[in-house]
Amino acid sequence: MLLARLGAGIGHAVSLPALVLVGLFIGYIAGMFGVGGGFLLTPALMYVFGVPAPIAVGSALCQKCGTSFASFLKYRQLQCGEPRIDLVMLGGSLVGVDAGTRLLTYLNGQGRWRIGDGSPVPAVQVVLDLLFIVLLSLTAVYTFRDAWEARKRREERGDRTIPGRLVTRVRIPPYIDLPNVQLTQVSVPMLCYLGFLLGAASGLMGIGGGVLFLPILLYGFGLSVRNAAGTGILLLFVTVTVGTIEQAWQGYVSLKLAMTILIGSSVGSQLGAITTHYLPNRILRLIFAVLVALTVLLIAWDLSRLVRGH
Amino acid sequence: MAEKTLWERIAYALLCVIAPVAWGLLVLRVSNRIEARVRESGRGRPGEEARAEMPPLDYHI
Repeated sequence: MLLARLGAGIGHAVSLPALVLVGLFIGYIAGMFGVGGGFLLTPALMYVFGVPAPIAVGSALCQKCGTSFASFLKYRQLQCGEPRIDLVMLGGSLVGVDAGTRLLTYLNGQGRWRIGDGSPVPAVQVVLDLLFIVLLSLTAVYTFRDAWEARKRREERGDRTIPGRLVTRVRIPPYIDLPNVQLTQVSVPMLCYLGFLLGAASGLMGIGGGVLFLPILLYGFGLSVRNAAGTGILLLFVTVTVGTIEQAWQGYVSLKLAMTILIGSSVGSQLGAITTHYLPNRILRLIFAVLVALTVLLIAWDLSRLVRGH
Repeated sequence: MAEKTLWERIAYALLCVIAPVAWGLLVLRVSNRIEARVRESGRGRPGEEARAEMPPLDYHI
């Protein structure tokens, strides 16, 4: 029904209503939990629609240009977070997104690997699957642990910052003070390296980085939820824009695919945001942890199926 | 399929950024208008102002 060819190396036709529905679901999840949803979108495009890994990565980044720009303008109106963190991390992030795109191109050129006795599998898909499994497992464990420990807390901490380990333990000069979020003496090289890692994850995996960056801001820096939410959006927008240009240049972006998903996700994110007013924060975190864990199982199952040659 | 020229590649790369950004801008304008409408309708009825205020999108993890 309403099948369309999406170009950019996707050999088969894809159902447009199904794409809009997936976009709606991912937007709903994104709006509900306040993440970009890229960690679900790239695997969904690969496994549900059979989109080749590099095209799934490039198109997911392209879709994120729209969502991150809208978020950036929205959070500028609300004036929360610390833009200096974004600016310091930006240099590292731009180098990182270039490195991630080059690595993706290299892996795409590696062809197929034979693992054990199974049939050969695309090298790029094996690497992406393993990376998604590791990163999402860590996110699920951290979020679940935090939601579990939140049971014992008697009062909300509000906008107060409790300096985390990345601030108190990493002592590599020079330092920067971040008065908007009540942090002093934060290591600049550490911020640059974090920017590099997030940029590389964007370029290689097609994720905006929210699923990695938010836990880092919340648990590593100790920011409040509100301040963490307003931080990193400028960084995200610039990173995905540069990443999209690089991936489009390589021929990895299907604009039709990205726009179809974007239309669905725009509606879904509004619906998801409404849901958050009816569920307590701790329950939302628990649901999020379960969802991420299920995604990990799905990817692991698909990888084992690929390796066994089924 | 014919290889794209340099200008076609540049135009496509720019379009891949401009099209989603334009859509994002449109969605933001529509959602801001809806929020403003809801606020205005709340002002019409006494005592309903606070409830009509739509809470901002927030991150929850």
